[in-house]
Amino acid sequence: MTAPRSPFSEITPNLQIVWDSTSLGWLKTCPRLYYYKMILGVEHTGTKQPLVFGLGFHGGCEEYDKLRIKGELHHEAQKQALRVGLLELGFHEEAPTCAVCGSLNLMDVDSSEGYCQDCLDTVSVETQKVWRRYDLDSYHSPEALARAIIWYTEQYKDDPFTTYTMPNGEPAVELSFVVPPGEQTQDGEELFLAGHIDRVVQDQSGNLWITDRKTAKQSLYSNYFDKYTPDNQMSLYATSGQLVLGDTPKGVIIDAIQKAVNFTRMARGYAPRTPAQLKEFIEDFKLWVFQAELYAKMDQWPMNDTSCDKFGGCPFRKICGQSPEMRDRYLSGPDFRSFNWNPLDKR
Amino acid sequence: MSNQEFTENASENPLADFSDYQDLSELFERDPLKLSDRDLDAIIHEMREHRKRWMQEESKAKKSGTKQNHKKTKNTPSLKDLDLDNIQL
Repeated sequence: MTAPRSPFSEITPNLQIVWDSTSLGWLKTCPRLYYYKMILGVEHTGTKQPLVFGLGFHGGCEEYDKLRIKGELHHEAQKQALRVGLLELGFHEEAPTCAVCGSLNLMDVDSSEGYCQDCLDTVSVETQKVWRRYDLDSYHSPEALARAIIWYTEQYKDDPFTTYTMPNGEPAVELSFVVPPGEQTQDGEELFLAGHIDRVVQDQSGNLWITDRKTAKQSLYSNYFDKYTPDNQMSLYATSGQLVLGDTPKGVIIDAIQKAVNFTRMARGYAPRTPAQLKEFIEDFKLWVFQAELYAKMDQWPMNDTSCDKFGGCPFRKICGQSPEMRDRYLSGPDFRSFNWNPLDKR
Repeated sequence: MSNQEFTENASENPLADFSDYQDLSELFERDPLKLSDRDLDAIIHEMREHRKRWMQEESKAKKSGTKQNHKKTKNTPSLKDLDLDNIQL
């Protein structure tokens, strides 16, 4: 079975055939929301800070896991994890700098000269790769990220759950997958599940578990983990894990990391799944895709107006609240931007 | 003793001296690719110390306020506890 090159059907326009938990979650929440995000490719111009922080935390922990399984010492692995994580909080770009002191505080720059506000003189200018950090609040600052990575790796330094080594010898860390659950569209096209698993671990009895790390501002109340059973993402991971690993995982271990300004709290919870629950998830998945197929063929994506209030209010509410002939104008306004979500993208 | 072992032992030595690092905030502004091994050691050292202090405080708070904490965990999270930034919609 070769993986598809596009997440969309070659037969039915706008019918998705490769589904990840994010896009499936949009469809389940509201078909109109799904249409805006997945089909039209627009998103609200909200903050990207939690996303950037999450990438840094996941990237750092992945680096730590990989180095540890290769035999690197805890402290050395932490150092590399820190560097990898912090690199997600900004980007490098070519910029003119003062050839004398290296300062970026230049005025009136032309191709070879500029006025350096630190040297207080006209100086030669040279282009260098410089680091630009994103503007981040104190919950998502480099210090908060460094603390999260170090406290997390300290906490689980001697984790009784060990990283599973794949048959090819590679550690099962940050696994991108595209797997067929054995279901098809009504027109006979193969369906796929896709996503990224943080890590696969083995417990002391040799059972496999998928692990997922969640960073959130939310307090880790005793009932925090209840929301993961049932849960679209955890069920999709457990189902896909079965297909990727060739062995049924016991479920998903969730490492929750509470982001705060001056501390980082951690807790571990479990979202077990039985084989019958995984089978049920695939059956439900098929019905959800049938619905999407109907909407795509009718080119009509209904609003689930019972979801508008969830999570503090859907950002598309101001679009859906307009008369239909007005919506395109609002979608192309400053509150929204284009983006491309592709379940086939690898991390 | 290899360099690696030396680094491990030095960094985990509670007497390791990072007193020349008065303020780590400057390190966090810097290009991560330009952080030296010692810079990273200093960050890790400070984070570990912070964690130790925080765990001691947590432990004290739990001992002194068990009843109150127990009651709190039974509450349903309020809206302000939800991470509205981190929910994908």
